Amino acid sequence: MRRVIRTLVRLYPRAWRSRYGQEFDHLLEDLPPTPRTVVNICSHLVSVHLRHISNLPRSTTRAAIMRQTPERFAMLGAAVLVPTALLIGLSVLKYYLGVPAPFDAVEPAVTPLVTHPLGETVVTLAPYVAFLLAVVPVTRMGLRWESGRLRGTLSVAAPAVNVGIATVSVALAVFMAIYWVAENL
Amino acid sequence: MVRRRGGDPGLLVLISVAGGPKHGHAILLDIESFAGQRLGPGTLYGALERLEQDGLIEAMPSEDRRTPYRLTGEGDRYLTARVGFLRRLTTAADQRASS
Repeated sequence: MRRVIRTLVRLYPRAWRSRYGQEFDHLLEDLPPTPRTVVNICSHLVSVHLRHISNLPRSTTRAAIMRQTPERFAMLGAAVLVPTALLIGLSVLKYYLGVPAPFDAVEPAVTPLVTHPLGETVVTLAPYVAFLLAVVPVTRMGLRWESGRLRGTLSVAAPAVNVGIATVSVALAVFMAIYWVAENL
Repeated sequence: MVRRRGGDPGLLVLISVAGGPKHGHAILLDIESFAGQRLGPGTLYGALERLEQDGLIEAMPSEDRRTPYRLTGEGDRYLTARVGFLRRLTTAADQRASS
């Protein structure tokens, strides 16, 4: 439980951690690590992130918010990707690398979820959703009519975390596509 | 009978630090002792942030990674006004509930 709490604390915005992080860590060391504490921290974590976004000037457009906080969208993409990445990672370990123990340990709990139509859809779509979350906020596209010609521009300014999440998303999507072709054709 | 739990965390923190500067854990223990309410760490820091931004409390130099907070002059005036308002409400409620 303490590990979960430490992980949650690392997810606070950097500005918040630099101001309150040390004293907050100290407080958490003094408190019993209960599920209630975890829920309370999750709730506060979400409100701090929302406040950080809403503190941007009122005139800021949604697109501008995405451009100013692209790492947050990438982290959201990472969270969406976790179940799919775990499932594929453990499957690769078992079926390609001959290490069955981790997959066998989670299989009883995971199988009902991924065989349910909703679970299957979520796992399948996750790489695409994560890719969009990582890429859209860092991409600027423009189309304009100029001198009788349609002129299009595309520019990308991506932080490392967005590049990483986009790359992992593409890798997982390609792996799933190859696997699907191999199984069905 | 309908039971409603909890109070305004900001007010509870103000009352706590009005008794003298305290760090986070001491504030939680103090609130539990006088209000019988155990705030979560996120709730406490949400209240501390808001009160600090509003200038009602201020952080003192850290002691051993703990940061004590104390009431500011503005916080003292706000707390006095708020307690006066609550006292008037309590008086009105007492008179009407017993009649």
